Amino acid sequence: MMCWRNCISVIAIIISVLLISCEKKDGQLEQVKRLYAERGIVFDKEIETCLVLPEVGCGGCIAGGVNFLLDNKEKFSSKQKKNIVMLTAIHSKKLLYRNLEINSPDELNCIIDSGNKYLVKGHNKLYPMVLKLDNGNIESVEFQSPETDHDVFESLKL
Amino acid sequence: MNKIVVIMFTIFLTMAVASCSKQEGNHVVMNMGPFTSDSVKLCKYDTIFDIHIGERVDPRPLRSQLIDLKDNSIYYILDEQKLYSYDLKGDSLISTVDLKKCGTLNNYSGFIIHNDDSLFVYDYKKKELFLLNDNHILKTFNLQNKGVEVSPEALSETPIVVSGENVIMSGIPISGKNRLTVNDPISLSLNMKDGSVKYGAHMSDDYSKGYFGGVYYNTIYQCKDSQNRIVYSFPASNYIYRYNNNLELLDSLYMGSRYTRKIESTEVPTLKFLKNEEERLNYYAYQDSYANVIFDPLRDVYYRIAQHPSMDKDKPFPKPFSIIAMDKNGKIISETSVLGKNEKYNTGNMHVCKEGLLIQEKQDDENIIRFHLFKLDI
Repeated sequence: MMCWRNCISVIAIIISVLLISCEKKDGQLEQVKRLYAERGIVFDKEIETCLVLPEVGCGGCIAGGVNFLLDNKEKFSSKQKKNIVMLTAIHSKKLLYRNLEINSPDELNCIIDSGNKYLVKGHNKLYPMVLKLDNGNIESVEFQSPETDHDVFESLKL
Repeated sequence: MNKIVVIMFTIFLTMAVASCSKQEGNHVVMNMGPFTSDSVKLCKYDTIFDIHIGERVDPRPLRSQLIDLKDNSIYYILDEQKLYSYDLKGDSLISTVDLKKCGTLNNYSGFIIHNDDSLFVYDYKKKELFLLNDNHILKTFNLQNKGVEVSPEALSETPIVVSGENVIMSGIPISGKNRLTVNDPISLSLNMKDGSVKYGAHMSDDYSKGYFGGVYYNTIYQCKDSQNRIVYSFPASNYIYRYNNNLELLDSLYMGSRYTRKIESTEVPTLKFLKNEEERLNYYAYQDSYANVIFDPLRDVYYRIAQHPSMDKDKPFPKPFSIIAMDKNGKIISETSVLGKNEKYNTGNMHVCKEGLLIQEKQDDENIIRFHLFKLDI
């Protein structure tokens, strides 16, 4: 009897942890949807993946985003529309282009977000954000932060 | 099954205790003065120096140096494994030297021009210091510490200092401790002749009484003065500290800002603080701190940057600042505030020259580095 009760307690704890982490993700999705709606941001129906990459923020996380972009430059090129990158929180366009190894933003399917329209509020503004879209609607949101338990970019299927 | 339950419970209990742990107490660094009353003004002159750096070079270099020669001044920048030298007044590129042989040279790597034909280059990743002569590596010093937690840096604000036969380098303490005492060295002194390394110097006493977390409050600013002393400025201390090249403390001099009433340590638990970048940024942005110290050998004056709380919730950086000037006897002769237009200046790129104090002023054209001249109105 004692053994069964202990098992149930452990399972309850595990389920609670899982529920909390799911709730966090759903909360983020709704927050981003709401914020973008307030700002009048509308996505093209052809876009499937949107990478919101701040220039200033968590250095390591941003470096991961930059490396991902460099490794998948063709998939974000200006010749396609499925994948797009929003370059935001820009401190220096010169260094941004240098880090992305481009001479001009025309080489990528990207938006230079000088007004920080795509930059989320709060703590998460420091981290790259990946949006998955379907028919112009945001279906999922993931941030690459030190607390993320997996490599968001590696798990992306473009 | 019971074993698994006990293990799980132990893990949860440990996590709970760790997250509840608090700092040992908050410490407030009060500024009791003496404040400058009869102030000499540090005036901004109309004189500007523009250097056209081209389309590749970083317009806000982390590692640069200005050297006065008889007829001109040369401005050096280390960027992307290359050392660029520019004629400051002639606004022309003099040379580009490839330094790939010294390593990746990113992050906290740097250099210092030693004399006419030799320089030191430091690779932060490998902790190697190179002495180059005529672009050939003469000597390599491995600075990997052996059981001592000093991680030297070589950015403009914490430059490599050459004092006599010694090279002194300092770095943010990496021990992760929330109290730093005399037993936590922050510098190394390398004897160039025999390659021996001595560790010493320490953060101000304030850091042993409170946790001033994050990179910004633990950055070590240093320079050399005309007596070959190593001068330290710590972000949470109203004083500057002078050491000899054996890293023995000689004295401390009050060099606080009249605008700074207090600086508080953080009460947020260490782990939580280190994980939360926004918390760290806000902690730094919205209270006072100190930054660079630089010595003007022609005027025998120390300059120190005092940073003040940001007034912009959306764009807190750069912080407003003032420039304190102190004579060699420890008398503060001037404090000039740069409020309101602080976003224009980059105090990370600040140098003294024959004309006075040069501070980089941000330009829309990122292919130009512009310096504005400040001079004491004596």
